[in-house]
Formats: sequence, structure tokens, C-alpha cells
Amino acid sequence: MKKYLNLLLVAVQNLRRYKAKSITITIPIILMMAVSSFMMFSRGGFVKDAEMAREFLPDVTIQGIEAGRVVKVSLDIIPEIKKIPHVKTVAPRVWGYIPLKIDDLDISYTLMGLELEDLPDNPEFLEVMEDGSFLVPGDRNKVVLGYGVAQTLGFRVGEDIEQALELCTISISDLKNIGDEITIDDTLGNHGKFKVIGILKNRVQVYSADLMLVSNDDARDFFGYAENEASDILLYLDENGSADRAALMISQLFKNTRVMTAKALTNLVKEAFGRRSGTFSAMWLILFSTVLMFAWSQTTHISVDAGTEIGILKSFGWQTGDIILVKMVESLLYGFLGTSIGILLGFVYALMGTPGISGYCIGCASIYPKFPVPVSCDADSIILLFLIGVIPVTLITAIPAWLAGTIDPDKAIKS
Amino acid sequence: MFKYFFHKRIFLIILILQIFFWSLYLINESVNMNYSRSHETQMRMSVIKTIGGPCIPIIAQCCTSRNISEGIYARRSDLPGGYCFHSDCDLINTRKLYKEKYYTISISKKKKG
Repeated sequence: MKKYLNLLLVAVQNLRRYKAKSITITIPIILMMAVSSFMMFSRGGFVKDAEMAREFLPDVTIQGIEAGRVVKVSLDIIPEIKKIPHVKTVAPRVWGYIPLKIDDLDISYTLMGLELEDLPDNPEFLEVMEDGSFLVPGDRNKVVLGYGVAQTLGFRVGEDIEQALELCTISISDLKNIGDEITIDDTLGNHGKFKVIGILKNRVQVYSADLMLVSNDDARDFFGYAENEASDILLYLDENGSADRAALMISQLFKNTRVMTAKALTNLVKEAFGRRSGTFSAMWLILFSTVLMFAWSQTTHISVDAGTEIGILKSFGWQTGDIILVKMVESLLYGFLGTSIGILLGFVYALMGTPGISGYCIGCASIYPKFPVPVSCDADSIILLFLIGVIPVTLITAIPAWLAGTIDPDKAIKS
Repeated sequence: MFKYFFHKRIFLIILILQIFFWSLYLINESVNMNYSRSHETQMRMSVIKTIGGPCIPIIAQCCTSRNISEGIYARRSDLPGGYCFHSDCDLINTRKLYKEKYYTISISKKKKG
């Protein structure tokens, strides 16, 4: 045991003695692990959010399907749906995309209608208002804007007035306030006039940056839906665990419907965002192989001093295995140190919102203002990061370690 | 023996880094991403609860993909063979060569008659 401890201390000593080489190998490992970890932690935030969101989603969502494509759903099916056991609330929702041209910008927002009389009981929602109030039953021609929409449309929101001005290219005197009216003319020819009564907080932009919330009737008027049509129907049940049964019954009862449970929606979000890092994965793989090659080349190259030292050690009775062990421990320490610093930097960078590359990091097009994204690192991710950071670097230096260990002491000392 | 180890700076650095990192991890997991303790998480979930679960609005250029439930259909831009080739829409682009297996599991089957 004491022998191995001594070998470990020699390896540590070597890291200090060959400081330049240690730094040269450790920095690329830090970079590689920082990239990998902030990507993994940002992705983890979306996945964790999706898991948490499951219990807040409607138990069943029903859409209309025509020839395999998503279309409007008829509200004539609601009376039948209400007869299904454990159905508590049935809420139709009318919503759609509104492509706008503001100055030279082409922007697509989401106008979402809500059944204001049947909103889920949710007192916490008042806290997500940055300014103004939320819609109440009976409201017509009123809208609540997401923070991103409000900024782009030139509303006075938050502290960062300068940023708002940058986005909407208007002067400070032209900034709009709560209570002002906006006219929406989308590029598809739809038209609407709404009084802005509230703006959602910056903190919830991840779900609401592009949202314009209105009543279902207003959304129906805007998109030209008939009275008995909606984009989808949300179903809330009074018993956990009966969603699958209700979904099955609905799909059996009604033709041309697509029925999804909260679990299915959660899985879709997890799939979409859990794997939404194709570009980064490819980049990271390139970086990973480069770092491994670099570690290989650095450890293969044995300086004259190091060669002489190995020769002397062997002449004093060190075995080939001892030299290999010391070299492997050096690589292990490079990997462990680089991975620790890299993960830490990546984590802090992710918590800061990955400034500079957030558009790529969260895997999206970047027409929206920056907004805070959830960050999560679970124990599995951390263990995985340590495994991919430490083991490959240690393994790739096994052959250079063996080459160093098998140096002929005579030749090494003479050289 | 351990005292001797701690005199070696590298072990001390690794130990401090580990303590710092695990502290951050614990704070993030038990406070920031915990529904009962994090006010921000409560606010995000509150939005989902009230409006019935939107998708995350970050796929802005795929005009129909705000609704995650539209899935594959949305990414086809409603045109025959009109796949979206945005590098980020890798649900189609890079996932095992255009397989659609998730949707066969999620949709409830309809019985005839």
C-alpha cells in the first residue's frame, strides 16, 4: 500500500515539475468538459421542467385530424365527452400563429385564446404579471402580452428601456403603456384591435415570450373560426390515473381526433429538447477527439530530461510497471482536475444563461430577446461527465505510458 | 498520511473544486429546480397550468412548431415531403434517419365499428 501511495506522490510531484506540459494538457480538457457540461445542464433544465410540468398539464388534449393533418376540432363532441367518467372540466382553446412584419423584422407570434370562464384555479398566476392585470371572465378585445412581444411592440417594460428601444426602433417618448391599444394586422390578412391590460414577467419568458393571450371569442374572431370550432380541447379529470382510459374512450367515440395524454405531451417535450443538441453534439465530438489526440501527442513526447530521469529510476530498481503506473496516474490526475474545473465552469456558465451562444445552446432560432432558461444537473449527468472526462484521457495515454516504461535505461541515460 | 496528502496542493485544489461544485449542485437541485422551494419554478408551472401547456417558444423559424403536440406534422411545414432542414430540428434531421417511432406509441388506437 505504502509503495502505491509513494508512486502516487511521485506522479503529483511530476505534475508540478513539468508544469508547462500539465497546463497544456489540462486546458483543452477543461474546455472540452465545460462545453459538454453547459450543454448537458441547459438541456437538463428543459427536461426537468417538462417532468415537473406533467402534473400541471391538462390530463387529455384533443385535436382534430383530417387526412392525417392537424385541423380545427368541432365543439359538438363536448357534450359526449362530459359523459365520460371522471371528467371535471372541458376547456376548448382557440389559438394560432400570427406572422407579423414590424419595421424590417419578420416575426411570428402566438395568439392564444382562453376559455376565461373555465380557467383552472390558479391564484399563483397573479404573481407572473410584470405589470397590469390578467384577463377575467367577460373580457373582450383585451390582451395580455408575453414579455418578448411587449418589448418588440414598444411597451415600457422592465428596467431595460434601452434594450426595448433597440428592439423596436422607436424613441422613448413613443413607448406604449398598459392600457394602450394595439392593432394587429398579420401578413395573412387577419385583423384585430386589442387593449393591452397586462404583461407577463421576464422570468416566465421561456414559456411565454411570444404569447398574446386573449379570450377564446376574440381569438375566434381574429382567426375566423366558427362558433363551434376550436384549435384543441383540454380535458381535466378528477382522478389521477384515469387519463389513459378517458383518452382511449374518446378516440373510440370520435372519428378524426388525435388524443394525447399529459404523459405523451411530456414525453414529446423531453424528446424534442432532451435531444435538441445535434449541432453541439457534433461539435463536441470533434473537440473530444482533438483533445484525446492532443493528450496522446503530449504524453508520447518524452523530453530528454524525462527520459534520463526514467533511466535513472530504472537503474535504481524501479520496475517497468511502476513507471507505467506513475504515468497513468499523471493522466488520471490531468483528467480529474480538468474535468472538475470544466464541469464547474460549464455549470456557472449555464447558470449565467450561456451568454454569447445561448441561441445555439438551447437549439433554437434566435429572433426572441434573451430570456432565462432553467438549468438542471442531475447526479447521472455528473457521473457521466466524470466518466467521459477521466476514463478516455487515462486510457489514451496507456500506450505512451507503456512506451515510457519500456525505455532502455542505458540508452536513456546516455541520451 | 492524509495530512501529507493535503500538503500537496493539487489534492487540495481538487477537493475545494469538488466541494464548491457539489454545493452548487445541491443548491440548484434542492432549491432552484424544486417546485416547493423555488418561486421561479412555481411561476413557470403557473403559466403552464393556466394556458394549458404550450411548447417552449424557441423554435421560432419553424412557423408551426410552437405546439409540441403537432410534432412530426409541424416539422413537415404541411407540404408533402416538406421536411424542415433547420439544423436544430434534429427530432427529424438526425434522429435515426427519419424514424417516427414516438408517435406510434403516443396515439391511442381507434377500434373499428
